Amino acid sequence: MDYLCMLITKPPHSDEGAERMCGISNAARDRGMGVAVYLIGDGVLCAKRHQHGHVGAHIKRALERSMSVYASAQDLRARGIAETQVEKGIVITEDIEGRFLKDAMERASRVISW
Amino acid sequence: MVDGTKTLGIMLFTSPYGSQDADHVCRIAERALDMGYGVHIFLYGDGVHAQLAGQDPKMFYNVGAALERIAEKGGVIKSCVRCSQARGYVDGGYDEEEDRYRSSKSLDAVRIYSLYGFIDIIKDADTLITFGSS
Repeated sequence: MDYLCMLITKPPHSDEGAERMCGISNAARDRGMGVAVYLIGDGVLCAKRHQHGHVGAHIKRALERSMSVYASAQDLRARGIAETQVEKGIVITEDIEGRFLKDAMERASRVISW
Repeated sequence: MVDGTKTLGIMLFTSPYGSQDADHVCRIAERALDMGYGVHIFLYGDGVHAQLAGQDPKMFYNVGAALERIAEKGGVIKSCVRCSQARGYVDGGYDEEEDRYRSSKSLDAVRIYSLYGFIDIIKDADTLITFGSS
């Protein structure tokens, strides 16, 4: 199966970066691709539960559609976001770089970053 | 198990400290080198400001120090000569022996290079990621 790896550094609701992630990851899944989303820096704000708007709904839908979503533990802590505030199903990891690199270098057929 | 013959290409388009893009570049590059991958970074546009020597942030991650560690671990870091010249980094001619443009203001770890460095990354990297492009 083709596998798409997405690295998101942009927050939701401020520019189009996170919105693009939503559209492209869903379209990739529709075409039968495996998808993994890595949230680092301000991208971890996409992981928060109870968000209004498109990005929060998409993250829930992505998890329901068997996409893998990872968030940086260090970047969550830096922004004061507790694990209990993170959408259930998102994997919080201390080694986001290592996980991303394993996927990006060894598994993914395409890597996109915003 | 990683394939140590693979190379990660990273392009940086934004300056350090204005955003975390340069931090992400350095953290991912260092981790990739620690995992045994090759790393090739190209600084372009405002990204060339990451090469400034003498960076001394008091509260932020030190991008200059990180680039020096990356080079020590075997990472290759180049910056665009046109972008560097426009921002005042190039104060000498082309050094054929070292295959770089001279600069007293840039880190030794970063080689100021022609735009072919950009193309080389696109051609040679097994995986390419960009930071700061819209």
